[in-house]
Amino acid sequence: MVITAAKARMQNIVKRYGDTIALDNVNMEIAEGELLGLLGPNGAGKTTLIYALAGLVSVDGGSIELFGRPQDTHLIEHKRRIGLVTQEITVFVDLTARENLEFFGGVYGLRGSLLQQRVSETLAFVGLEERAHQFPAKFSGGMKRRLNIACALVHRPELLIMDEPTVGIDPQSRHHILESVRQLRRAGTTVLYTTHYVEEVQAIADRVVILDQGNVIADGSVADLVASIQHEETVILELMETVDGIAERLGSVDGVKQVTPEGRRLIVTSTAGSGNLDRLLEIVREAGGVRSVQTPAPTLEDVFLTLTGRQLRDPEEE
Amino acid sequence: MSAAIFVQSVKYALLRMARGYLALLILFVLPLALISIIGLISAHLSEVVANGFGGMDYVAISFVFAFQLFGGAYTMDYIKEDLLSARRWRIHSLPYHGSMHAGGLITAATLFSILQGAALIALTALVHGVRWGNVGWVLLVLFVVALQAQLVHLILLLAARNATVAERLAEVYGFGSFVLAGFIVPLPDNALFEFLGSYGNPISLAQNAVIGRILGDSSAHLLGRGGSQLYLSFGILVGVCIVVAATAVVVGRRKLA
Repeated sequence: MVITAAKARMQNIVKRYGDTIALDNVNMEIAEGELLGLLGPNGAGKTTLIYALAGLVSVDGGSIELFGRPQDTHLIEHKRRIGLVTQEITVFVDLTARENLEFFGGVYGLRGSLLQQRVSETLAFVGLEERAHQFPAKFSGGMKRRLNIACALVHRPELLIMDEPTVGIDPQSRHHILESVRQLRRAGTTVLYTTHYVEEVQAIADRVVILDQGNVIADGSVADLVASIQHEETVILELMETVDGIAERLGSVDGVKQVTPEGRRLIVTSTAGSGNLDRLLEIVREAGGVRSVQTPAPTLEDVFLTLTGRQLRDPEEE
Repeated sequence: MSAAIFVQSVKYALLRMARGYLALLILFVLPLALISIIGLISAHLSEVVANGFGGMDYVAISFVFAFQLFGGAYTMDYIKEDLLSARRWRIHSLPYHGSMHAGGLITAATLFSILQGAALIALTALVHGVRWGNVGWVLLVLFVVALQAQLVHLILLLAARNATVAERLAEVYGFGSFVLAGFIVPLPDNALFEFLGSYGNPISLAQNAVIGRILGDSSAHLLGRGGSQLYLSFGILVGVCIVVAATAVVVGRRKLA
């Protein structure tokens, strides 16, 4: 990937709704060709942030620059170069899939054969070419989501802003959407992808910004963010059978901080970089053998938990 | 570029409206049925027959304009869907001002309402032999009434606390005009109601303009006022239209920006 310049730069952005501060001095940059994941719990300010970036809500403080120019004086020009995928499905239900794309393409100035070509390509890209002449009411949730995305792609935006594009859809459609986003990034489109699904950001993002209560609390690659909180390592050992005193023996190994027995499973927490896995395995082999070994890697969920003390996703959403 | 985008907005809005089958049923099929039934009944009533002008003519002219008032629901529904719901974020993200989209919707709704009225005029003329007089004049009156209805609905939508309240107020506007035009019950016999029944509602004003043009001073038998009032009535319709248009611009700038 070649990152050449900032596509978007937000400096000290403040947005208030009455007494509520939705964005509190937010600074964020999106580099050209980058796929930036914007992660945060519901109500963190993600949608406000991207709507401010797209010029849909005014900010109370700070400056926004897109494509090297200030947003307030070049708004219409910027809108021509942006594609916005809204969180809610906002296609026209009384137009067919093809007519939806023709409408949006036409508004972006596409005409005649170029418009028809782009519409066909975009429908094929989102896998809806067979459904081109059907109304969205007949679509599954995932297909509606794909059409929602297609409407923002038909004019080939330089910056694609996606607001929770996979909410409430089946795994197959989610996979299709994530693969499409990867393809767009490979083709050079800069993408700002907001979600509260950690696994999506981990799977596709070059860089991640974590937003919480209107503040940027972390900014970096997935590997860097995970490394920044990795003070401990965990090994989960599943024994062939329960062995008396095994937890104490493992607990005496250098670097081990805690051993939690759960039936035949032992969760061993050690200081990061202690390099004691061989010794732990040696002990459990001597004690009758090991059925399986897991070394779960920390996720961005753990990053958020470490930084805020809260879960990223509401347990009721699971 | 802007003109092309505006035409595009109008074109797709017309397409969407043409697919609103329920609205077509209410605003096209229902008045046609009512005109046929009530017109046939009143064809033999002596008080609405004069100079070859029959009950069917009177009923058709009255109902075509009366139903135009409910045609404003097109503007109300499509503005609500596109610019006051979640879709507004999509529309506002497009490289044109939201007011251009609103203008496209209002234009399409007015055109569509006029088309429905024109189709009713053609059908009633062909099937029931209704006398419409000068077609150009009738279409001009139809245009003013249709535009006024769209703008009144827009103002109600933007000024009311919520869409449900706006819809109820729109019903008051439509049925209130029916009442003032004397469609439902006879109005009390006093100067105020005489004035409201003659010039205080768009249905009576449209009747004055069209029937006055067809019958001239003979229309006094039917309307209680002579054909010379047709320009006054049309002038009031246009004047009210200008006032509601100016109000719509002010309210629209505040609510749709």
